[in-house]
Amino acid sequence: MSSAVARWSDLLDGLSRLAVQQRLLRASAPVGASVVLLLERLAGGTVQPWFLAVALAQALLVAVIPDSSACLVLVLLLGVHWALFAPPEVTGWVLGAALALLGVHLAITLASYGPPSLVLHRVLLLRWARRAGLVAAGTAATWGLVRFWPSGLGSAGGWATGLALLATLAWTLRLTRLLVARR
Amino acid sequence: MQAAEGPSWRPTDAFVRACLGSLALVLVAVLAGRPDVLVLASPLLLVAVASAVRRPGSVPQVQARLLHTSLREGEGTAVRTTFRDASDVEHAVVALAPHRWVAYDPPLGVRDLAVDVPRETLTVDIPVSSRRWGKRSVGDGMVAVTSAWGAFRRRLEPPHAMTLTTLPVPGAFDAHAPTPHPIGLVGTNPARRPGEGSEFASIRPFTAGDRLHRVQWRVSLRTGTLHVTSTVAEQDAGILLLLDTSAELGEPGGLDGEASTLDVTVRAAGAIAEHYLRRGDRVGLRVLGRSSSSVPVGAGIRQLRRLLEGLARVVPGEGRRLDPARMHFGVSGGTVVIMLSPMLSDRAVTATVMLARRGLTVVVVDPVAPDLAVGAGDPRVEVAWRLRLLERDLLLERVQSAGIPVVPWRGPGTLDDVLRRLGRQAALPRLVRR
Repeated sequence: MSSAVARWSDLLDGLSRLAVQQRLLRASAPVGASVVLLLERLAGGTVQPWFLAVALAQALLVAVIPDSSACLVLVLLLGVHWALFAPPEVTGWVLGAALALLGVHLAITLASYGPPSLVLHRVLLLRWARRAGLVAAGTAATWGLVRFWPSGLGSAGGWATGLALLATLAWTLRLTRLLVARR
Repeated sequence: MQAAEGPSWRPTDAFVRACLGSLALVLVAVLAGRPDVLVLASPLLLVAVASAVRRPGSVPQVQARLLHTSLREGEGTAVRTTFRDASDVEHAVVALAPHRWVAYDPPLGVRDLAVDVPRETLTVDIPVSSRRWGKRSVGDGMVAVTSAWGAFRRRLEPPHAMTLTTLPVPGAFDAHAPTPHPIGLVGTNPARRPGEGSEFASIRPFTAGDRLHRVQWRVSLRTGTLHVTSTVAEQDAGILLLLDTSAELGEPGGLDGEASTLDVTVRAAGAIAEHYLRRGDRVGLRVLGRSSSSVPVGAGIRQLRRLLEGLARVVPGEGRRLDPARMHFGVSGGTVVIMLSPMLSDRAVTATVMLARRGLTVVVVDPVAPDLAVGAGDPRVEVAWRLRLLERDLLLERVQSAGIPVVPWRGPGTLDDVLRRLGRQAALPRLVRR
C-alpha cells in the first residue's frame, strides 16, 4: 500500500517537474490519436463516441506514463479499430494515419529517454528528425507500392498470403529471440 | 566509485511497442487481406527492423566519483560519471538524487549526453555545490545508457552516496585585546614576565646582560647611573573552543539564508580559530559529548584546516547525554576556554562552571540572537519559547554568578572587553578550588 502511495507520489512529483520539451512530446499522444481518428473518419470509417473517449483516455495515460506499455495498447487500439471500421481502400488518408502513428511512437520514445525533467540534447533531436524522415519515406514507399500495385495486394492469391505469413513467422521468431532472451 | 552492475541491455518499451505493434498489425493485414493496415504497420515495422539491426554488443561499465571530497560552504565541485566500453551507447543520462543543502547544475541534477560519434569512453559532469557546512551525501541516483534507435537500455545505480565534507565559512571576527594567560614560548601576546618583546614594561637600572640598544640615555644622564628600557615578553596563548551542539534553535537556511544557533556557533568557532591561529596562538576544539570532532590544541594554518574539518563533523543534537562529571578536556593551565553555547541545558552550565573551578579562564559566547523567533505563527510554541527563555536567563545567571562572563556573538570585537577585563583579573592573586 505504501509503495503504491510512494509511486503515485513520485508520478505526481515527476509531472510537476516536466520540462517544456517533455510537455510537447507527451502532448503528441492525445494529438496524434485524435489525428488518426479524424483521418479514419475522413477515409469513410466510423468512429463511435465511446471509442473516441476510450482512445483519448488511453492517450492521456500514455502522456502521463510514456515509459510503459500504455502506448502499445494505444497503437493496437487505433490499428485494430481502423481494420474493423474503416473501408479497405488504400487512400491518402491511410498514409496520413500511418505518419501520425509514427509521430506518436517517436515522440513517446523520446519522452521516455530519462526523468521528466530531462531536456534532450539538440544532437539527439536532430538525429531522430533524420530517422523520422527516413521512416516516413519508407512508409510512403510502402503506401505507394500497395496503392499502385498492378493487380492490388488485397486481391493477392493464397500463395502470397502464405508467403506473407511465413515472413511474419520468421520475423516473430527473430523478435522473440531479441525480446525474451534479453529480459 | 564503481557503480553497481545492473541488468544487461534490456529492450525498451519503445522497441517492444515497435515489434509487437507492427507484428499484430501485419498479422491483421495478412489474415484479413487489408493492405491499408499493412501501411499503418509499416512505420513501426521499419523502426523495429532498424532497432534490431543496430542492437548493442558491448556492455558499458560506469564509474562515478567526486572531483573534490572537501570544500567550503558555497564552493562547487562536480560528480563525474565515466562510461567505459561505450561504443554502442547513443545516449547517456545521469540523474542525481536530491539532498538537502546540495545544489546541482542543472537544479534538478539531471544531465544527459548525446553521442554524435561513437566513443569508447564518455564522461558526464554534474556540478554540485554544498550550501551548508557538514557532511553531505552526493552522487547517488540513477545512471542509464540507451543504444541506437532507443531500442535497448542499461540502467546502473550507484550503490552508495559519496560524502562531501563541507567546511564552514568562518564569520567575521577580530579581537585586539590580548589573551589573559600567554604561556607559550613565542607569540604576540604580552606576558606577565619581562623579556624580549616590543611592549614597554619599565625603565630600570642597567644590569649585566642588558643590550646596549636598550639603554635609556635621557634617564641615564639625568640620574647619573645607566638605565635601560625593559619590555614584557611576548608569548602565544592556548585557546580551547568548546561547542555545545545539544540544541539547534531557528531554521537553518544554508549559506544564503537565515542562520540557526548552530550555524552561528560553528561559523563563530571557525572565525575565532582563524583569528587566533593567524596571530600565532594555539587553538583546539572540543564538542561537548562527542570525541570525534575534537581537535587537540595546535598552531599553524594546517591546524585551521583540522579545526574546520572538526567543525564539519558537528551534528545537531549531540551531547544530550553528557555527564559533566566524566568530562575530560585535556587542557593545560592557562588555556582560555571559549564556550559557544546557547546555555539551554543544565549540563552545559555545569560543565562550564566545572571548567572555571579548575582554574581555567572561561568565556561563554552566546549564539542566540535577540530577535530569534521560534515557532512563529503557533501561539503555543511561542509561549513555550518565552518560558524557555526565562529558564535560560536563570541558567545564564548561574554562569555569571560563578564569575564567568557571557557575551553575545556579534562578530568583530565580541571578545575584546571581556578579554581585557580577564587580563586585569589575571594579574591579581586569587583563590582557586581544585
